[in-house]
Amino acid sequence: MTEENTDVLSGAFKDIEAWNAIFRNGTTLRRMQENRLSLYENFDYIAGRAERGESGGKEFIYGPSSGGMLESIRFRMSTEGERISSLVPEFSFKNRSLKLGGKDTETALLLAERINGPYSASYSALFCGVAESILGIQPSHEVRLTRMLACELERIACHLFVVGRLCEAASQSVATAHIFGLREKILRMISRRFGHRFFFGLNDIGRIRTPVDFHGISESVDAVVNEFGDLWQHLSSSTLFIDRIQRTCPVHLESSVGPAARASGYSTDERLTEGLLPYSDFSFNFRKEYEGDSLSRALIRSHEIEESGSIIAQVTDQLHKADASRPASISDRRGEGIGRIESPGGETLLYLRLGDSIERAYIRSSSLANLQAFVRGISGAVFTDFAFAWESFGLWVCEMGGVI
Amino acid sequence: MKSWVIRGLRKGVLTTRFPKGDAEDVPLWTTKPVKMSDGEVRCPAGAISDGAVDMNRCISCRRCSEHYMPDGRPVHSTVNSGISIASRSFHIYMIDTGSCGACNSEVHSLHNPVYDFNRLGMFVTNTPRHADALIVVGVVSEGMEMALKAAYEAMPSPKIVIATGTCSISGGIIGKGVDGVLPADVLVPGCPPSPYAILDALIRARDAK
Ligand code: SF4
Ligand code: SF4
Repeated sequence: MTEENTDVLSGAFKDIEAWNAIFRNGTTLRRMQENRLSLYENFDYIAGRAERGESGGKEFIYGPSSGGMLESIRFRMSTEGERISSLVPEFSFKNRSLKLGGKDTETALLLAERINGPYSASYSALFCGVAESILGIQPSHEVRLTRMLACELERIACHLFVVGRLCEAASQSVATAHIFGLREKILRMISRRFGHRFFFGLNDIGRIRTPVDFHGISESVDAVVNEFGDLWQHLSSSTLFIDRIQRTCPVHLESSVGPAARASGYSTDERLTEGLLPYSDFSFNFRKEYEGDSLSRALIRSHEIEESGSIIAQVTDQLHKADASRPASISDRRGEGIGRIESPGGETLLYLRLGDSIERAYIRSSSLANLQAFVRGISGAVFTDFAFAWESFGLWVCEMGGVI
Repeated sequence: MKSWVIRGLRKGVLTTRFPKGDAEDVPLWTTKPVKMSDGEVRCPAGAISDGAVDMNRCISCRRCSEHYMPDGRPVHSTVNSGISIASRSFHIYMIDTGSCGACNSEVHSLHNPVYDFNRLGMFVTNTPRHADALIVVGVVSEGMEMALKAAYEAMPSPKIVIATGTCSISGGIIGKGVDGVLPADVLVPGCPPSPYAILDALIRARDAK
């Protein structure tokens, strides 16, 4: 078991008057006073209050709906000449006020997989995993492997999307077309095997809802991974591309998660802990970069595309004959649990308290955890670097809004 | 640059033959579930009535999969009114009013070389001021309602609103749809709709008489 690290605040939520804190690797809630929690520099972000800040000076407003962004978000920026001196992100415009509390697990799962559609395999596996541990349901090894497979396919699709968006921002139109073409191949393969391009409806508590044919998945993934490797090598030799992302938005923040953290030299990856999915039965190469810039984040993702391919090959080797659709046993146990999963964006945290229905839920997404890193890194950047900075983090606004 | 071109040639044609030819690889659970056997089904979206599925409500959740199977045929959108500008290029502006990101991603897929909607004279514009069609994705959140109305006001006439995805059409299981805020001229069902469904809707909306 990885030890709790109380230097890094992973999550915080308020119940009536008291705050509950969750620290990195921690498996219990800690009651804390707000004045102590506010000593953690990421507290305002974790608590979803970052958008109340002042950017200082004369503000330039960008958003909430703007052609260059995929989602709605507004930035209030102070500039000095062409440099961004500070920025306040306002991410609540599109907040859907998702409420898991008061729902039965069946309904809550539908919402959980729609917190962030492109990370749906991760969210649904996380929700099911935590609910199962509270309910005392042990899903079969095949079910856990299928979830792992889905998460790794999702990682490849999402990492390709981030690298593609970076190329798009850098006007590398031919490379952009190739990379989005590869992502389409992966999405189609996911759709053929799992019935849906974003895995909606796949996971259920204790089981996989519909059987999956695993034959040939690894070969299809291999072809995409190899082609991407070739493209990436080619892109890496393009000074035009590299110049735009190297030394752009450099940041080192210990509370960051996922590829953003690993690009800054931090060794955080939920796949390396004894978590909800059996990653420890498989081998993959863990990689870190140290510059913390947009190039490092892209390097980490390009490496992870390859490593996910290797995990998929190992998993499907064990899975080709498995029937993953066994029904779950019924349980009415109650209790609470904390779980984490490594979504494509990084550690995603869920606290769940179950009674007759869900009494309390709290989710801290990877995008919320990394938003502070983006805000910090962008300060001092020239405005023309904005897109290369934003896209390199692969943030999703949909998962920044609170879930209760 | 030369080597990029060679790479492109080596890969051959990736672009779908759709709409001239059939759509390949239609995602099964974006197509209409059809009743196969009797039995109790609890549809969380209230999409099933008298054994038939209303695709404007369906959220592709597979809760009916014991008794219903998707027919695998691309779903047609409802075109209440179109814009009829087949003689010039068609500009769209996407606004995210409260999505989970998947609908945005499918609209974005229209740029990829497989769907390549530019070949059909369709283009994304970075401002609603130049848009013929407003693609709305997600439920209409409180925070985005004003921005949605403002985007619509900024568009020149004639203009159409394309409610894309179940959230935008009916609110699905999450919130409220476009209806009641703006007139939805085109409804594209799916959670999310497949890129084919969106492409088909754009073509039919543009070419409507
Ligand atoms: S897939 Fe889900 S929403 Fe659609 S008809 Fe079946 S049960 Fe209802
Ligand atoms: S319709 Fe479905 S895919 Fe689209 S935004 Fe809503 S939940 Fe997401």
